Amino acid sequence: MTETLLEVQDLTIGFGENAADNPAVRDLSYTLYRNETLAIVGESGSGKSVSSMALMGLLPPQTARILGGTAKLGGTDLLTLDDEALRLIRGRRISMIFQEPMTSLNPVLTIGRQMTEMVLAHEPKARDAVDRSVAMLDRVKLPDPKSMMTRYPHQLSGGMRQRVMIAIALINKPEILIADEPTTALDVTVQAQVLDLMRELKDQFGTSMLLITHDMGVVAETADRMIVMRSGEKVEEGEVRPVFADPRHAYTQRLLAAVPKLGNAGPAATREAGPKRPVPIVEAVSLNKTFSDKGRDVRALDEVSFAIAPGETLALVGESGSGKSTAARAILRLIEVDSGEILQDGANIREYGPQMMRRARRQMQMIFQDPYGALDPRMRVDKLVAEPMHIHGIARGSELKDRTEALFRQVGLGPEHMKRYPHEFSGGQRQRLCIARALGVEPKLIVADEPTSALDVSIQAQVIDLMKDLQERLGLSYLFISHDLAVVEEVSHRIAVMLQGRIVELGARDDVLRNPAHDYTRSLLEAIPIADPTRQRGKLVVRDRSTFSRGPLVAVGQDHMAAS
Amino acid sequence: MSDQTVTAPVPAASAASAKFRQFLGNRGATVGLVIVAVLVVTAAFAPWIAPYDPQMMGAGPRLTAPSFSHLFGTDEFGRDLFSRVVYGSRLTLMIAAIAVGIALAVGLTIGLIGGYAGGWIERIVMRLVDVVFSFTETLIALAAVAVLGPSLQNAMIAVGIATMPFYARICYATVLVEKNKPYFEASVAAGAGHFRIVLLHILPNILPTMVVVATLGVSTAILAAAGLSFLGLGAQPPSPEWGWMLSAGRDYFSRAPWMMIAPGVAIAATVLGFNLLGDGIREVLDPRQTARR
Repeated sequence: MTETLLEVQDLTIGFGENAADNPAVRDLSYTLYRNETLAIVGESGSGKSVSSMALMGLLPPQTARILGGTAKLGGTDLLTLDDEALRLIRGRRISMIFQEPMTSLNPVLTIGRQMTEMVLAHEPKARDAVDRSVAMLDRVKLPDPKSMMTRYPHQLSGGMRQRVMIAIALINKPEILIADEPTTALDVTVQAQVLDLMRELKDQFGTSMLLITHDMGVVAETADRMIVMRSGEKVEEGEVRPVFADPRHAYTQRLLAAVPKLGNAGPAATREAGPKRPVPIVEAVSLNKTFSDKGRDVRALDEVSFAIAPGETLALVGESGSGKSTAARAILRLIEVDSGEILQDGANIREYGPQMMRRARRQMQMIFQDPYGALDPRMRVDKLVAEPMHIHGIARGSELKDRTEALFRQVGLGPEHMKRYPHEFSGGQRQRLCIARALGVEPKLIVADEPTSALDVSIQAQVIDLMKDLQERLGLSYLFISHDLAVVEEVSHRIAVMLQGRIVELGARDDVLRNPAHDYTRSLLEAIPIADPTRQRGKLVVRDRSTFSRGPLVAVGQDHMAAS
Repeated sequence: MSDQTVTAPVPAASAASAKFRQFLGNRGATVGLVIVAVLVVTAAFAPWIAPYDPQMMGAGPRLTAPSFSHLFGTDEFGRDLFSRVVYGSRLTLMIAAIAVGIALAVGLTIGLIGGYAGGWIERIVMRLVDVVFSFTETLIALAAVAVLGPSLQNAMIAVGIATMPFYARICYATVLVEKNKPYFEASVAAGAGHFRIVLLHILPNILPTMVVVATLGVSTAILAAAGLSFLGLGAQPPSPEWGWMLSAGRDYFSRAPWMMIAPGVAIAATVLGFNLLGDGIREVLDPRQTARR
């Protein structure tokens, strides 16, 4: 494991006209040994992707410039090669898999075409291209590889596509596999399977892996060594275990501390959910919603019922397509359900006209997953924050201005930020603006749809702290939608687990997470990558989602129900 | 690790000046801007620039070739063609402004309503637009003039109606894109009513696109109006409208080609200028060319 494969030295990359003044990657040096996994960890803008794209010659040629350094693979410096020489290396000696399995396969070509193309590009006369492709598809554990060859990407799920990507990347037995956030876009159970597969194949093929990720859990489970990058510079390097156990650099310490870990949240977050539950702020009763997509009906909500008490956070947990976002929007009537009741103060708001509905919305505000898109780009942020108060006639003139300023302070922004436009803020600041906007009308409930999943971990922690702090001070209730159980543990009092449009488990936070009653909840919990390299998880049992029980909820404990 | 420091805020002023520099970096756009500027100045100061009254017969001998005293020559009544072209720029700009104004106002309203309302309103409104769209512009303009009677004013209205579907379709498509952005849902969730959402959120976001469309549409409108005048359905004699001048020169083309060349070149240059300008603005405003921050 000590044979040097790739040696990067003093790599410096800059963008735009003033590339040299403010390089995106500065004097980066590292060594990749044979058959090891080296993780490059960092938050957005740290230069972790840029530095790896440079190895493949994939930087945008007009804007990016390599200002210095070498990257030696064997005897050749990758950074000085011309296009043709690079082409011979790409896919043959170095392969890459990308974050988006949905878009990194060509949608109009069959899987078979795309697999054999990779072989033929480097061995134009290979007669066994098809056989090798089928064998490779088999090795990434795709069912029925022969028929898989004739399928198109849109016929496969995200996890299957990422397997195909891995198969394509490994078919020429490359020495180095660069994986840029390979599992970030996948659901947690699928992520666990793909990570398992990548570990296994790395050993079988003797490939070295350069794993680019922001997820400390993925690092702990997959990597041998790690590099931590911040603002283009390497701040720490070492074997994974010692770095996790004893991070030297202050930034690594903060990064590790900010990672939400399951089982770490103190009991303080749990509110005493006494037997006498107070009158709920809002209650959903037997919501049903069916979307029809190209003639096929998809049940997004199937008899979904839940209630949220004052000052309580109910988390809706589930994987993509589980209906959790639909449920959130249904509560606010952003989506009209087919049947069911949404009760606010005992009245069914589904029967409200526009006037009454506007009043009802004063009680319930929403914050969104994408803080970049949720703010109108052409409106100044003070106007945006003031808008809901203006709409609901809460304040006017100088009072409105004062209240807006108070809201800015409340979410940790200052009056100097008020006269700007949304694009002048970072992601975390934008989410703060969204929260300020929601708070203006003094709502009782805030529906938060994946409010932190677009943010870096350190900023994610700040936003969660802010939300919890506001709950303490203002007695807010949250309906918190998330796929991330670690975040959910930190914020929620009660948890509802959704699977294919149904709630399959519902109960107090600790009951659900520590003592899960439903198999699906258990498999979700097992699949989470743990940011602790000393903990070894056994092999995951792959189970088809449709095999889980989805019957009516039955009480399994006090305030704890699971599908039978 | 405070997120305040992660991205340096870009002051809006410098972003705007950077865009202007990008605009000037495009040579075609600069040429377009110069042509349009010359046109506007000419129209504004026509009485000072034109050496003769455009209607004055016998300003020189009939059908004289271009010379120092008559830069573009004279027509069959001895009128100075240079002065007529200079005054004609006023008509051209007015035609452009009014025809595009009508098309933009109607098209924007229809597109906004169709795109925002959806459902049966969308289907009815947009199918009507499709019906108008399926006839060529000149045919619709001809029909409109036939109903309204030939005059410059009616030609402008006719051109406005004929080009409207183009604006409506683009506006409609842009609204659909904006409606799918999260901020739209966010304003609904905030309790905003229809008027607020349409006027304060959607309209400002589609306006840049519509500005580009309108700039490019100016040349279409000028050409269509000139065409109608050429056919005798727009400007009536003795108005110095370029299309009509072109038509009047046809009878004398073999003896006095400058009678057609002068207004013809003026029309071509103006159309080129507005097209280059529109392309330049589009390049600067195109969201695909601006990196997402």
